[in-house]
Amino acid sequence: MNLKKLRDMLYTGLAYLSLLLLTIPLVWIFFECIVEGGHYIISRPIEFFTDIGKPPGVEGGGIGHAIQGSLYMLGLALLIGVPIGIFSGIYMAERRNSPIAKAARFVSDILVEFPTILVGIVTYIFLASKVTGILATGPAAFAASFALALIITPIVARSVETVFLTISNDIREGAYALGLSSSKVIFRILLPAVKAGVVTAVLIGLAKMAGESAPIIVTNGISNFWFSKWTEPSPSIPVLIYIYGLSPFKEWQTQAWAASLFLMLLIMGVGFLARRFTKKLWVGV
Amino acid sequence: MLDNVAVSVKDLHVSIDNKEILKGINITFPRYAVTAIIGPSGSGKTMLLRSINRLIELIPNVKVSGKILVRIGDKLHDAYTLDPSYLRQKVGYVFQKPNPFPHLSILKNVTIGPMLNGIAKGKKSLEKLAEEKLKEAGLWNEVKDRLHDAAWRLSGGQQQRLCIARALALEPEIILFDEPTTGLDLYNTKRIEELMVRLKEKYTVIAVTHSVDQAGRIADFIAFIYNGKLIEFGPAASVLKSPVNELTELFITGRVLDGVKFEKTLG
Amino acid sequence: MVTIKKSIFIFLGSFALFLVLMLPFYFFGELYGASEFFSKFSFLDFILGPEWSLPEQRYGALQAIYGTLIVAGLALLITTPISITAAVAISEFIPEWFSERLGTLIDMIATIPSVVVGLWGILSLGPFLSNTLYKFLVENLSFLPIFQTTTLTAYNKLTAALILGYMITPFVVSVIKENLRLVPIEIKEAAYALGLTKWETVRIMLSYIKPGIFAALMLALGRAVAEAVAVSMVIGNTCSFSISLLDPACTLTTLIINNFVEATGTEAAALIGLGLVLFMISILLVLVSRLIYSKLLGGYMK
Ligand SMILES: Nc1ncnc2c1ncn2[C@@H]1O[C@H](COP(=O)(O)OP(=O)(O)OP(=O)(O)O)[C@@H](O)[C@H]1O
Ligand SMILES: [Mg+2]
Repeated sequence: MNLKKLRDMLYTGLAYLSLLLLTIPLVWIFFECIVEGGHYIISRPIEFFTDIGKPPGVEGGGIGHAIQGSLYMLGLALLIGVPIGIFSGIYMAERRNSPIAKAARFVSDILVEFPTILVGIVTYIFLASKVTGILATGPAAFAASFALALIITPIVARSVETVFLTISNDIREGAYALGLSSSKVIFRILLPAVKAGVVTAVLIGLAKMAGESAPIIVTNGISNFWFSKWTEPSPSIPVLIYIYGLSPFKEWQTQAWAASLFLMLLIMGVGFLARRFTKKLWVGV
Repeated sequence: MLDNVAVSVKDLHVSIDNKEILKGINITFPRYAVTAIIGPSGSGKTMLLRSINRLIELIPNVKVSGKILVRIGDKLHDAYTLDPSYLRQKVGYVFQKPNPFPHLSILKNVTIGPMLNGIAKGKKSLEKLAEEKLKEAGLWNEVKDRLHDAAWRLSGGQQQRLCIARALALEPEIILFDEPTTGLDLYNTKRIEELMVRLKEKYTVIAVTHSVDQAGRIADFIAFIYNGKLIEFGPAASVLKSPVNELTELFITGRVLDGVKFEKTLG
Repeated sequence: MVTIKKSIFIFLGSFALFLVLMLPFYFFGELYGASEFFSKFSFLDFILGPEWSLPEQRYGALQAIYGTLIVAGLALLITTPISITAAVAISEFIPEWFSERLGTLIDMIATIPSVVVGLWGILSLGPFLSNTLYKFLVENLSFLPIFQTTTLTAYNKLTAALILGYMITPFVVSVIKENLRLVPIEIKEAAYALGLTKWETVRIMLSYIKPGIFAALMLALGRAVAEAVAVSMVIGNTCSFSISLLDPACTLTTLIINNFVEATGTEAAALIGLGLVLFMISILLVLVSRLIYSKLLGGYMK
């Protein structure tokens, strides 16, 4: 009887230990980002966000070029990926029993778990590769955007589908009963009713995409200059962290922490917004 | 006299979220007999039953006061100072809805209690135990060729008998049944009723039932609960034939079925 | 009129169809990109080829496959006990107001970009471990082949596995938590009624959701296999068949990420071939996971 209690206590102890083990690295990472990187940002609060990186050995420098590059890349990726995701998500919900909807559901479940580095490779092969690519540009920013768009599409599609499935059939039937056409029902009645949910879906996709580095590296390569052309490599925040982190230079490593802090706050901010949207603006359906 | 006591409940009060559910119950359940607890829905029958094996403690914000003595061997123990794990091994419980562990095999459902509680060990002796208990529960012939099937493949009535075998496997002194035949067909209902009667040879049986007729068929004693209070308790025949309390009479004659109508009748 | 009504669904459906076609498109893209390589070498020779060496123009995938399986497998081994106990602690042992916060905290781990985890691995965790744990292992347990090494560095299979294990844990925790929430209360009550203790009850609950746990672990393994950047930053990037966890290695994804952009000709095609292997492993794991899960749903969970 007592042995039983002892064993229970041991297990309980182990359970709490595992929680501790999980939180330590999280706290550690934030600690390093804030101590190492936060200090750097505070010492150059403007320069850090507007300037380009300096060569190793030279004091100072910022990640302005990477922020700009990321904005361009993510912007184009959203422009391509979001409509595809929304439209196919709506189709999956509104034609839920059609063969295409079923197949799309099945495939997007696989695609959300699909290695993003492979998406990058395929995009590169078809678009940018000097040998096989249609545009044959070599590593280029637009290819990275396309890869990111392909990554975000199934995520958005699946979330939008879920959002549309929350609409009760009464509303659908009510709308059709007014004699409205399908497109009016979908885009004038249903979509406005769940627009907060759709925004959330997009934000979730954005948060996932913003931290991606592998697909950018294999499509766009590495650059530490200002964004110049879509057909040239562009810098980006994740890749900057990658190069700076791997470099042996202390100043660069410090800036990698600073960029990490910024990137994480950005992603958390987007995630926070997403949650706000779900909670506050959800028009009860 | 005391030798005949299986469970003795003294001034039992139960409240959930500060709402009083049982309002001072005193009752003595005789040993080696079937006692049926009857009463309208929501009167507190399940809560009374769950107080005895302290399953009630799983409900959040529950307060229990009073005293419950439970016979284990030839001694009466205070249920609320015993180790709950030990108490529950000695006071078996069969639920309203059959709840075998659906993913485990039929055999494992019976042996898991003794195994995890460290009562029986070894494949052979566990299998022997299972056979014995499945026979006792009247299920053996139906499942002896498929002991390794998952339990969810059994029919509802079979599942309920499996649950009974599972409770029996711990060699309890007392078995609590909470409306065990709800939702079962006539055939399975009859088998389980017969089983309850048969079990009183070795165990004390306390059974909540929603049906006065069923109480009449199985019970030696009947307790009538209404609105968290014990209204009447006595030998089955006398409670059914000549109830002392007017409420009991109204209930067993089926003239009023729920609390609201009772209040009205009482004026 | 009818055709106008329908046309919107043709419009929307074409996008859904695009989504469906993405998967075969990826597959043929991989095949197409690797075709130059496989026109010269057979697929079997490729995956069994023991050596990846640029100067000698030898492109065998076996070392990378070996590295991938060891590191991802080890990550899975690390995450399994931790995520199960953590999920149980959160959903069964900790008071609700606190467990919700803790859940959010653990979900936060999943939002850390992998490059940041890699940065932490290369600058903080790796150096820390090599001065503490690894030193201890080499000095005291080096009679075990898995802890033998000639030159101890901070960047090796174990560092990579620890980091990967950490990265996949929040996902597994959240799936197990969700599964535990779905265990019917009747099952818990039945266990308690048999006199089982809290942990024994938890054990029964865990066995009830076993298929769900397996499915989650398969997906997690897939994520570990597919992770590129963080692993490449801490694994040491030297292909070998060394059995020691304290020796560097390479994986399918690290070879790709380190070499793809500069690669040309046969090397590029061979790297895409590695991608093809990754593709097959990933799809296999996702399908196995789905199969297990649908079996669960088809069985006692209705
Ligand atoms: N988990 C719970 N939380 C709060 N109140 C509860 C809970 N379980 C039961 N109650 C309340 O306790 C009272 C008695 O319930 P109990 O289940 O004992 O009734 P019963 O006599 O068994 O009824 P029935 O015949 O319908 O099973 C009811 O008013 C019920 O609403
Ligand atoms: Mg009841």
